[in-house]
Amino acid sequence: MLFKLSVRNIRKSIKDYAIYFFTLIISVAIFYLFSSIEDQDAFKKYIANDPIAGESLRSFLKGLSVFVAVLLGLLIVYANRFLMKRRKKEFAIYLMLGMSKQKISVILFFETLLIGLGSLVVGLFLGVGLSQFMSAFVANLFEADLNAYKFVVSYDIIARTILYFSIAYIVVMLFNGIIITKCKLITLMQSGKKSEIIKQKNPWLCIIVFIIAVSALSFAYWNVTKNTINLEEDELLFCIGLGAFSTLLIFWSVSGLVLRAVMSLKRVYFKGLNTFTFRQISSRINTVVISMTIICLTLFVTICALSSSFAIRGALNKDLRECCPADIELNVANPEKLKDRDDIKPILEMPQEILEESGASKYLSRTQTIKVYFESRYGYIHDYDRKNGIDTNGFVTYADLLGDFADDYKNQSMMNVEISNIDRATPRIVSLSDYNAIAKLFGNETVTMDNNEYFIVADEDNISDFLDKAASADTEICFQGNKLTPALDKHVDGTLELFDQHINCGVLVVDDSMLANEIPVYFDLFGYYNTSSKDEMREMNKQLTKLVRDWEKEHYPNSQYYDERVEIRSKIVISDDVIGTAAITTFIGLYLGLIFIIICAAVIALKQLSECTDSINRYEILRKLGAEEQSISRSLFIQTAVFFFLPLALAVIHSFFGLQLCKIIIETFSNFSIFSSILLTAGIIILIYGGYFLITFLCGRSIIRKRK
Amino acid sequence: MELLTIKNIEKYYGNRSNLTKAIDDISFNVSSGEFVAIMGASGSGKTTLLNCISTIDRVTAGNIYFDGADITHLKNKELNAFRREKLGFIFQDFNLLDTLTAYENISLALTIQKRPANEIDAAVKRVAQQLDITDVLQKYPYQMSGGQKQRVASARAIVTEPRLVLADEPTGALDSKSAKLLLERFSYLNKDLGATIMMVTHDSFTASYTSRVIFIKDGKIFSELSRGDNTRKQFFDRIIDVVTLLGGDVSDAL
Repeated sequence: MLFKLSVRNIRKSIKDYAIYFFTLIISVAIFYLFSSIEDQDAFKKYIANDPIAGESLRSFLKGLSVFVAVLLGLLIVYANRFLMKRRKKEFAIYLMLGMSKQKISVILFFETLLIGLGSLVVGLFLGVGLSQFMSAFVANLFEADLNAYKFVVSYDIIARTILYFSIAYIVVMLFNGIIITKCKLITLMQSGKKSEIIKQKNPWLCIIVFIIAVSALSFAYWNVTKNTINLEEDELLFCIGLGAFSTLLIFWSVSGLVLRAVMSLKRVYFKGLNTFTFRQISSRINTVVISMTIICLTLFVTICALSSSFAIRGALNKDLRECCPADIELNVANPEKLKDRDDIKPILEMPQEILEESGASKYLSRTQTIKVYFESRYGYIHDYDRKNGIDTNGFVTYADLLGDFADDYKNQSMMNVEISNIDRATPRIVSLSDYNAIAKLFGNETVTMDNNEYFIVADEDNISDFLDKAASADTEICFQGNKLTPALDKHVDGTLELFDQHINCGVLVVDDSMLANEIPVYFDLFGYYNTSSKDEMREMNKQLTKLVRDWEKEHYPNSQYYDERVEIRSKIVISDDVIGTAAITTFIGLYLGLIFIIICAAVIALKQLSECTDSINRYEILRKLGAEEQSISRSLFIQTAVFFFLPLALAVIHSFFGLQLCKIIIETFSNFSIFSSILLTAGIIILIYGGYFLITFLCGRSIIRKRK
Repeated sequence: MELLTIKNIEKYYGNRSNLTKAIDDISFNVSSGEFVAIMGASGSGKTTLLNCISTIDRVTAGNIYFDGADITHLKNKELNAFRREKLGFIFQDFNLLDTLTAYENISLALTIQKRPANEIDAAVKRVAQQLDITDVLQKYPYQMSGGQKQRVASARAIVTEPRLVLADEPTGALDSKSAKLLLERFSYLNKDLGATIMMVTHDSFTASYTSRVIFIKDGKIFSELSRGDNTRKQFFDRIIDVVTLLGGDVSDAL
């Protein structure tokens, strides 16, 4: 009997509770969707490439899913409160008819059970269905080949989803039980009849608070955008706190302020249902100041996190294409240069010979070796040389290259990790013929110049600007007693090293004749694998590395440093690493972003709908007064829009300034434009948030029309 | 001049096997400037009659002419416009918006009619004076007494200068003192300002303030009384006589 009642209740109210079901189903689906990444092929492959990091990532994702489950659980409990509120009258009738509170609890238990089962089944179906698209998305994130597509259902994840959501539903059941046993019949009967007591805020206080809030916010904005250079970490935290507090104050004051302003504009205020609409908004905004603030800040963090995660991914991937001009780089220190140093036993072969002797050369085509001179970017060798009485006067430092602009460079804010001290660090030097050979190999333009000229190859943005200034100012450098002038008026964009970011701060290229008597520091070989398939390349790389290491062990069995003697850098390893990092960043950003947007939107939606339920009478009065359905709808639309888009609007303004900071951070290691990722973020937000807005409006309209 | 002509209207509820005749062939006229009461017991069909006149409900048969035009066949949009422009409503439970002040509640009736903003202030102040609520204009409903609320609601009903004011048990939720005050205002509106008022009630005292009382029983007109030159007291006694004849519930409501 009680079970039948529960079933009928649900069937009757399925339209009313659309937003509750919608939230439950979406929560289940998204939870499954993102948890199932662990069973996606592309992800498994990524984990397999690096088992240790993979395992820690796996446990991190598990922790993340627990965190998300807790958030969604709280949302479900909150949404349930809305349901309970709508049904007070119904409970009152049950109690009046003599039904015991226990029996009502049993009815609610069955209802929660049915709703829970229903939403789990639908949500899981939706999740499994969507996860097929997700697998394409994940494959794209990890840049894996999609030829091995298969339909994946992760039973583990289904079990986990069921477990977590069952816990949430059990909490809901307990919660309902408590509400029922605590409630009094008289309050249930009178619910909905209570008329609102309106507190008017002092308009002058509102204005003062508003001005204070806006100026505090402007100060915080100014600090994080224009004053970033002088910003200490705790000052930044202060600014964030200030921003959050001003947000609260703005929401607190804006309703009183706007109402006052509109009331004085009689033409607007006394037009159609405007009086009603404004009063309706301002009477509610007082009760939602705190939740609006939280929603606004959450949206702000979400927007920044989403945009940044997309931007970081874009930056990493874009950098990769430019930073790794060849498939592999083999780097061998010059034995002659190291012969005085007893801590390093030099390898006596050149990289090309090592490849041939070890039998690894069969994997490569088109190789080119160059000689590199004077490497001491970190100043270590420089120091070592000086300590050992070696004459370092002939060395060209970065300060020399920058000429008159060296001090400007030192005084600006950007720290450079590669060259900590430009007075001591010396750039690598290669000869013009070596550079041109490499340029040909990479498919870049070759350079011709006189023998008393030089140019610089760099790709790190910040120093490049200063190098360009120095080049256009015809900065003269002194090399081994010869005066050299710039051959070009700017630097050549590029790198002579495989790396995952743009960090080449400058390689000096001089005429071959200048280096005739010099001994190179190391030999650097660049080459390409005989394949373009990533999987084959991975395999070849494994084989090649093994052959070279075996060769080392055989020829230098006593060297304890043999692992570092022949340095191997390969694009495929770097790219797997970068793509993994990028994919995980995007994935987590997207996951949390979506969850937060859904939570924010659902909370607003539920608040708005419960408000509609409370206001049914008011709309009924409007109808009796002869207001047209169209104007009533418009009034509801405005109200819904205000509560959805007021926090979003402020969050967007926050983000505009917040992203400037994110942009500075992101652009420190990349020159990737953040703009496209903001567009993508906006798209996602419009889709989900806008969807919630529309559903809320439509549900609200059907609620207020119901009694017709 | 006939403002409202009701001709043989019928209203049935239910289906063939279980038919309820809420209104069973009622006809009467209301002239402009009249103050009419409809009396009857609970379930006699008086509220259905009011709903049909106010076009909230449709009649099953018969016609209602308002200002000579048949309103039983109006379309939805025209119905809204008709209700908005020609009628004013007063309800038993006031139906004031609790988020709005008295002033705004009254002005809302005008803004819904899309009256220009500069006309509103004068109109609101005028009716406030007529109904003696000037000093509560800036108050919210929860700050007012029941009588004040009903007078605000009445002000809202007449501020648009409707051809006909329909009142459904306006004194039902008021104490006797407030009820008397309200009815005196109604008489003033009717006599001095020429408002046409039609009021549904089952209270003889309330009905005695009107100029004509129509009694309804089981969906039919049972009797009709005109005040003529009677004093209110004399009219009240005559009403009581009819009510006694009517018997049943109404006598309990005295």
